[in-house]
Amino acid sequence: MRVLGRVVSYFVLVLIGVLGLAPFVYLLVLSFKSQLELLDVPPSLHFDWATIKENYSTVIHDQQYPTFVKNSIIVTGVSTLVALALGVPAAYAFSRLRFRGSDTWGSTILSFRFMPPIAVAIPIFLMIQQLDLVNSYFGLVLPYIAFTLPLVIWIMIGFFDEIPREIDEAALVDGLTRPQVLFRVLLPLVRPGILVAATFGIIFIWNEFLVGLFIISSTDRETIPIAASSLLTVESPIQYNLAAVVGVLTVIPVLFFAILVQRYIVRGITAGAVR
Amino acid sequence: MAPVSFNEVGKVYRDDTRAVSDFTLDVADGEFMVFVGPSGCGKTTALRMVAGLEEITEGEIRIGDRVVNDLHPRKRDVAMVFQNYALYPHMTVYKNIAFALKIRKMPSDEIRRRVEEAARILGLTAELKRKPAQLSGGQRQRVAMGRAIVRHPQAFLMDEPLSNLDAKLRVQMRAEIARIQHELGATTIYVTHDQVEAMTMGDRVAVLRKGELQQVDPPQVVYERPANLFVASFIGSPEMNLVEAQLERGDGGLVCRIGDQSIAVPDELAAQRPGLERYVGRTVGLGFRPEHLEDAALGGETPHSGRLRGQVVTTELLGSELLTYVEVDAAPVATAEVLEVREDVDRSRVAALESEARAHRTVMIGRFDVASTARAGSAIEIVLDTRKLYFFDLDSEAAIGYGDRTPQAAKPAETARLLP
Repeated sequence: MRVLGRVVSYFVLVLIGVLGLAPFVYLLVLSFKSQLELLDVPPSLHFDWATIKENYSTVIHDQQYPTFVKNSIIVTGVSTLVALALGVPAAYAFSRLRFRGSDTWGSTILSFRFMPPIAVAIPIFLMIQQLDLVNSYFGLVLPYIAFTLPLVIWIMIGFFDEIPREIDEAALVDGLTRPQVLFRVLLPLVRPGILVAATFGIIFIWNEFLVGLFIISSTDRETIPIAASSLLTVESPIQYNLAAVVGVLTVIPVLFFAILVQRYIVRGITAGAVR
Repeated sequence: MAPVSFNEVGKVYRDDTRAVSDFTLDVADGEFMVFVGPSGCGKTTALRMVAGLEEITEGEIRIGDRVVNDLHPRKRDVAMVFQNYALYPHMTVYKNIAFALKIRKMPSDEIRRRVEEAARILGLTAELKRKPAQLSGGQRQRVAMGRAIVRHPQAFLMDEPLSNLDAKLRVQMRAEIARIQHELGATTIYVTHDQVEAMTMGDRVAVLRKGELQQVDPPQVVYERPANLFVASFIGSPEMNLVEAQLERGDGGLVCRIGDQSIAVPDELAAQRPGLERYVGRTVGLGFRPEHLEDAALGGETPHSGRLRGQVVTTELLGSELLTYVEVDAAPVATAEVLEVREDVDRSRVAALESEARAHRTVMIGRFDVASTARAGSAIEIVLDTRKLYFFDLDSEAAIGYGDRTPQAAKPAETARLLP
């Protein structure tokens, strides 16, 4: 009976795993095919190294893929770092200090995150236009910080709340100022939280498409998601195999990153506020 | 080291709740002062105001000759031990203890010397490289102490440092803290709700109730001459028996009528309590400690013994003594202060006392010799040492008859057991 139970549960888990992986496998397979092979019925699993090389080198060399990666890294990195730099101290303040409206603001901040990006995409575009930042890194970074900040603050409040206030108080009595308490004592303690917040931020910004589409108008400023979509829409006929290559190359960095930090994410999610 | 003084200190929180009022007290240089009281009595707030973790809304606090009201905690030069220890989890024991010194940019060989010295005093030498998570509760508590010791601060502040330890360890650490405090001769304010800690550790004990100071005296004085019903019922375990009694003048002197029984007040006691005269013909609160009761069947009667009859409710054999609960036909003292102490222990005890009061029955606790044959349900006669009676005014709840000595009149110079 127990054995049967195990068999069933493993079967279900494997099924879920296969269902989850299938799109990625399909994407990978597509990226290995030539334009003609895509139409094979039934689809074959015959791969040709020359085709693979050609697909990938086309995307990497002819399609300015390194530029897109560079753009994505710059925009994601800067936005995430700034959001953390602002959000972590803000979360500390929300967790520890009582000030006018601190409770109200604490919950209001999260509600900003509920707003669908499409609702704010056009106003944001107009504001960025007013600032004369259209088609610039800065024009992307600003809204991305705004999107990420509430998330960072909210996650970090949870982590700070779990550290007993007495630790702060002990540090104050030991001779630290408030900011020193944060930087010298608490930051090492909330490191898992920072990693969780950074991961959520990075994944969101890396994948963000809508706002980017409004703000970026030239190919050399495109981030990977925007570049991938223009590949599908601009080129004619649509080269699905090349689009798939872009897809694969887009997923790989995030995938590696996720594998790298997953230990912290799991710990962070179970320990922190994101439950 | 320095004295710490409170001058009419008050604390009102932003939501207008008052935690401390008109708190005036001098802690002498090198003195071990214990703040004791039930939860919510303001003792921790008072301590935190000294540390600078709580704003002082009224009055002023001085450490040494500095008024510290507006000083940041780090400039007050006090060290604090917290109830949950508040160790820095990511630092080793060594770093935890050294942290405050490092912040003060002390030379590292001096830091090493002090940390090792503290570790030696506390028996932590083998633990220096470990992290707090790898330590037992008692060791963590010691690290917290070590963190305070190395500072050589003006004053130690301890906020219920033993309440997270199990009973046996608590007894051991109690003695250890007292020893270390004496060795260092450090001005110490120690907050606890445990009256045993208060009695055993302090040079003086400050009893607080609802943010107000009730009495400040050496432990034995608090025990023997409680200022009011609150202190009387709070200090002592098992607590003082309190019964309503009618004070009358008999043939030989004053007599207490307890229900239909009576006890003579010895002349010498009456002489020590001149205030009693004014209460003749009135109902007073009569108190006596469990250790001054004995089973009459065991003899031991002296010229000063009084006798009371009652019914044994239950007994607890503790090995060295037999705690006996005897129900006597008389109303218990059930004033606000007594009820408050009961409530702090357990809510159900309030209801029990109220129903006793309605039924005019008082359950008294006696610490009898184990030879006593008292058993639940049997009738019993008890003798009590009438030289050890306490009298309280039932309206003001104050103790009757220590002359005009008010509780706060005790000055540290008179009563403090000053340290070498």
